[in-house]
Amino acid sequence: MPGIDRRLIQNFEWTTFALVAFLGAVGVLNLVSASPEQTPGMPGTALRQLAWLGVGFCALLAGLLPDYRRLERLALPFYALCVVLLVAVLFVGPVINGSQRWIVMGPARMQPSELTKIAVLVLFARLLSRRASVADMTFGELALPGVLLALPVVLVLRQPDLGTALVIALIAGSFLLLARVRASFVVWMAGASAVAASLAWMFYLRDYQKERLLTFLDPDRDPLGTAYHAIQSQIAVGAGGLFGEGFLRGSQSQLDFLPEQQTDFVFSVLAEEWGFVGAGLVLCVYVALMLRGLLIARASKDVFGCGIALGVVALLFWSGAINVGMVLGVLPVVGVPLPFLSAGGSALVTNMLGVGLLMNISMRRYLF
Amino acid sequence: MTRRGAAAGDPLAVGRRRRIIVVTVFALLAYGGLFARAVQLQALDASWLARRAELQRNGTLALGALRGPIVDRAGAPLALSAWVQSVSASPRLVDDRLATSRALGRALGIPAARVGAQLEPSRGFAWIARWVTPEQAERVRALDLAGVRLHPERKRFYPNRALAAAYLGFAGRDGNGLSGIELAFDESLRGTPTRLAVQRDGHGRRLMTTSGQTRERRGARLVLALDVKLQQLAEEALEHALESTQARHLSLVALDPRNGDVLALAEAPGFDPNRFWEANPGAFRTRSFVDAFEPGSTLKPFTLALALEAGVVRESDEFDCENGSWQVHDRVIRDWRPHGVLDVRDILAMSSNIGAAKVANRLGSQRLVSGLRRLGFGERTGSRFPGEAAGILRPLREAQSVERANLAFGQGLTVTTLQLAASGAVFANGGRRVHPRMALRLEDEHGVTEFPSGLGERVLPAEVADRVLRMMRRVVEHGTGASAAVPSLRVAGKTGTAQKVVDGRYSQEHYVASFLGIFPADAPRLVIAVVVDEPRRGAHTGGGAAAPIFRTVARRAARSLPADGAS
Repeated sequence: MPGIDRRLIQNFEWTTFALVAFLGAVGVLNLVSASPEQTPGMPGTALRQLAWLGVGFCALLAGLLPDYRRLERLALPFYALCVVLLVAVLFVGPVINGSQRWIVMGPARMQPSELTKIAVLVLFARLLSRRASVADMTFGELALPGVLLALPVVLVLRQPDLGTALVIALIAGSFLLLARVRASFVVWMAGASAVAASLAWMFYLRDYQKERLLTFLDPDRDPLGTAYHAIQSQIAVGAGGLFGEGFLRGSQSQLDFLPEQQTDFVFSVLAEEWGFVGAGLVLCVYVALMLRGLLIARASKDVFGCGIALGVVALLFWSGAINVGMVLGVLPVVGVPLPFLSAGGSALVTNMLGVGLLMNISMRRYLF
Repeated sequence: MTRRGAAAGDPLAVGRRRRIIVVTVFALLAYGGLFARAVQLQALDASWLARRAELQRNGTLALGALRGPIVDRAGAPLALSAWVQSVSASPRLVDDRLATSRALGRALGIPAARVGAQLEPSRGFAWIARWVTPEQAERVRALDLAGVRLHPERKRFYPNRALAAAYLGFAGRDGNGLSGIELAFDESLRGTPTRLAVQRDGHGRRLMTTSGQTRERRGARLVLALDVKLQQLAEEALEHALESTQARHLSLVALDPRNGDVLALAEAPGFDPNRFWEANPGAFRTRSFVDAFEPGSTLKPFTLALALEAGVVRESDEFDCENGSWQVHDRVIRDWRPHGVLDVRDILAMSSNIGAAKVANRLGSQRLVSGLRRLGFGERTGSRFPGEAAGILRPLREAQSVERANLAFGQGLTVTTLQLAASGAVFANGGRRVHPRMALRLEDEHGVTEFPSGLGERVLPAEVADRVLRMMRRVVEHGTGASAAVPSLRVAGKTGTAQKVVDGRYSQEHYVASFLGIFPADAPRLVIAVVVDEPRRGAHTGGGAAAPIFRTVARRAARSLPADGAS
């Protein structure tokens, strides 16, 4: 391994880097507005996000510098580490807002479930690359990935964190598109999902979660209760209109009508203050980033690289779609943060690491 | 993107690329959908969503003005307003319901469970305690609890506590007059509130803005005709009588016959309007205005005055009082004590029912009823007091001799204590009708509004009025009102003892004792009506139960007759 190759620098993935840097900057700026009442003397949410952005760029570099093919050997240990952390968090994690999601390390908190997204996508890319057969996959072959997915998903659900568990499952599920599976399997999966969903409704979902789903179907069920978030978010987005109310001047966000406006509903703040122009632009940047990722996947030289690239795209796609869908009132309220915009260090670092891997694959397609 | 090397021929790679195109299309469709939804919200529905945002954050806030004070005729305060603190909470913002309830309970001295019940987390706003003491407010402020706030609120104080409570009435928590004078003059006392355009935040907290502000106008200062010293004398006398007679209720109205000024209006039992919510709501009724009763013999001076005016009798005319029992149709009219022949003056002094009935026979039903109406019975006095009763005075035909006889001595009509005093003033001011004047003036920043004197039109010739007044002096000097006599003071009066109607018939146990008194009789300054409802211990008669109250008040008032504000 020659360290940093000259060709590597020549082929630096500027497009992706620029798109991510833009989103990171928009994220910090938007959080300045989304934090109207900061305790004086405390580092503001925006400032903290800026610091995490710095850490994120380090993570991006870490994902970019080593040849990604070396990750193939690390996939299983990395996965194992994440599972251990997920178990640990259930024992040592402090209860914050009713769930145990964080491991506290000095001044910082780290959310193992976020890192697990990368671990799962790397592991699944490796599983995919190891299979050389052109034949359709059998049920037996799908059993192992199924177990490897179920383990972290169940652990994350225990925290409980439905949103992250859902995203992990969706990332893994996206690999089915690359794997050769029979159509009948998809039918079986659909049936099994329906059964699982009804079982979950009966035995797993908490009342507040059921309430959210029902409210999504009928927002006027309880406008001041469960539907409050969804309604306030849509009011904010709509009040923004075409050109927005202006930076720091969104009435819904500045007057604290928006719940969770630094995390789950951060996009509402953006849409209210910058209008359709701002929200549309940011959506376009997401789409550009994903298209870029898909091109990288398509151009990649090996299945492993292609798998990682698609996994990272899946990560961004699902998180972004679920979050924005929730903010715009077309999906139920599920706690999924918006990549690069929602406040939160672990998610930011994870997404930057993912983008680093993407750039890694893009830059090394000429090296062999 | 170039296809290079072995990958191009690899069937796996070819399949992969095809799938990536499918994925790309799927991703574009999904985000295209989000895009479309953004257009819907931000372009198509934008205006009504913006309006919804506006509606939920904008409002107006009316900050009530400080209620105007009520003072007596000399300026002594009767009701004052001040700012005090109240404690509220936004339960959604409370961090720890249990700890907050305990801390507030301790600071305010109320059970923590009661605070906890108010902090039901689904509520946006809840009062914890209103009108707390400055010490309690300081303790709450020191706690600095999340979601708990102190509000300045207006509180009405009645510095003399129960004094004139039934008359003054009281203002409620929100500063609106709810009864009595506070209600009668509510509009003037309330003033004009400050209107503020405010913004609310998502927690229901108000954020002030200065736009659209109108200046607060304080409520007007109300100067009552009431005289606090006389009121105090009256209430002390009533309290004492309440104790000695065990009556259900006592009321006293003192008027200045020269202008109708309501100088005292006392009721017993009373209540403390500072803590009106603890009082029996029955005590809120200003019975002197609201409750009408059958007056009995206190009506006789009016009957005689009408007969004298009509010229059907003279003072010296004599009537056979039938030794105390006289049959009229199917009824027997009785006197409280048998009398033989009495002249008109003695009919009044001895309070002979038979005598009065015979005088009324000469006058006739029509003249009796229309005359009483002219003197103020059967209609409101014009006081503007909320809920004032008119009393009942029915027309009579000439053939209704029983009813006429009854009416002559005060049965078959009802009057209020106020009416009795107001109508009685006709004998004290030389025959002029009097409309009670409760307030002298209203003072606000625009100036002073004087209320006109209550002295009204002439309803009796002065000569007749004076003659009846002299006859009423005999009542106190030689007749049934002897216990109203005050040494060294000329007093005129008339007693009344009416049986109450219980279960449709006149009761032998339940009486209303009344006294209508005027003094000084040579230059009257006060007309006082005293009504004792159901005296249960000692005398039950007007002379025995009501006249002594008049005497007590008159004797003490004579030493310091109210400052002559009428001149």
